[in-house]
Amino acid sequence: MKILNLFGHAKDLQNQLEQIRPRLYRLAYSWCHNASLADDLVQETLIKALKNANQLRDPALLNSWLFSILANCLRDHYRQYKEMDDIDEIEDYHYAHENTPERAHSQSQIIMRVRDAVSKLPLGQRQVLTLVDLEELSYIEVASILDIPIGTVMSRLCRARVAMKTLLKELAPQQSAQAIPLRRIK
Amino acid sequence: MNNQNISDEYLNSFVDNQLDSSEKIHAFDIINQNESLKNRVCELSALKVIIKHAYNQPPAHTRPKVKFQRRWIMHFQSLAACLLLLVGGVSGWLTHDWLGGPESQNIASMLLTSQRDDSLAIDARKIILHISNSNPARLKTALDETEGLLNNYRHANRTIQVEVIANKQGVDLLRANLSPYKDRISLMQKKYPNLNFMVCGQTINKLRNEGKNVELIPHTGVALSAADQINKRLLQGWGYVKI
Repeated sequence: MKILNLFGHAKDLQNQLEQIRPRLYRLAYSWCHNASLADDLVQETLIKALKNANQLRDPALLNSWLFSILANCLRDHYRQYKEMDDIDEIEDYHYAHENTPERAHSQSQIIMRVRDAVSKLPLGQRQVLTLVDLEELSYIEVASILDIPIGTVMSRLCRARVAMKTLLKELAPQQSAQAIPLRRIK
Repeated sequence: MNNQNISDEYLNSFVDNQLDSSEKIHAFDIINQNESLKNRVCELSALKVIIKHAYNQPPAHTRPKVKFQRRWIMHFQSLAACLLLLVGGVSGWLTHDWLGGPESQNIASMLLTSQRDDSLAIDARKIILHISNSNPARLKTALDETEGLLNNYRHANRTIQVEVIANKQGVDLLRANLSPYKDRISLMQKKYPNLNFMVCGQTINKLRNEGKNVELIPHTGVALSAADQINKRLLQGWGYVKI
């Protein structure tokens, strides 16, 4: 019976992982803004989760546990390829996109503007912002996932939102310089 | 508590629903009384909504979805692989004696014979190598392979005829002023009389028409065209290898 139960648990975990996969991908993408890298990170996260399934004591914490693994995977990735940079200060917007006609076309669209703005945030702020806004996690959960004090979560979130406000204004399509200004005629 | 005393952290906590119920009621009261605070809360809420909207459908990655394999399938695959290995090993052992005899010289021809079209009698001891690339690594591989083949046959006291035909950029291998292996090729030509180097006549003509000086390594033959030469050799039953 125990063996059957083990098989049952493994099957349940696999099903849960498959269900949460799109959310993991969305979160990973919001952190790195690179579809291939996001996919790789999710793959790596799921592999680690399957390997270390016995470390998950409380099944109710599965999501937080997975987000935590994902954050570690991203950190490992940046450490591997950007050894000399401060992990929290990496601004990868320079590498986030290439100038393509598609992008140029959609540049004016609101989704792209928001993504651009998020990608310009330092990684630490970006992670906190997306965990709170996309995953709707509590500050305590975010602190636990990223292994940082709750005060840091709050300050990063605050700075991220202030920066987003500014960036969204900066990234808004500029009005044509040739537009004729309205004049009052007396 | 006035507007100045309300920190951004506090408003963020309110918007993110991080305050307990009594704090929340208190915050409601304060915010309701102040237009500026209302605006700040609205901005924060709108930002939350807009961020969620922006990542509602992230661009999909094209990697095919990997399905989790069941353990028993993986075990079955391992078992099948072991069985296959075992069958291969046993059959190799049993057929060892057949192939170790005098007939072993014709293994290559047996293999080729089993694959060939009856209308084309491919002879494994006549091989034409085709080079159309000037990549030095490829050229080196081509020469290494050719020399290895000729050596093996010489040590086995067997005869083999090898012809190397070069066209396009591969012609550079046989151009005296460009070939990185000029000396090696000359030595090979002396060492192996059964080795023949040819170039495509059309490629040479094209180069000369472009005003380039084409000087070939001595004893290099010029075919009408590479395609013509390869076709001719195939009809004569030669084996064809492109490098």
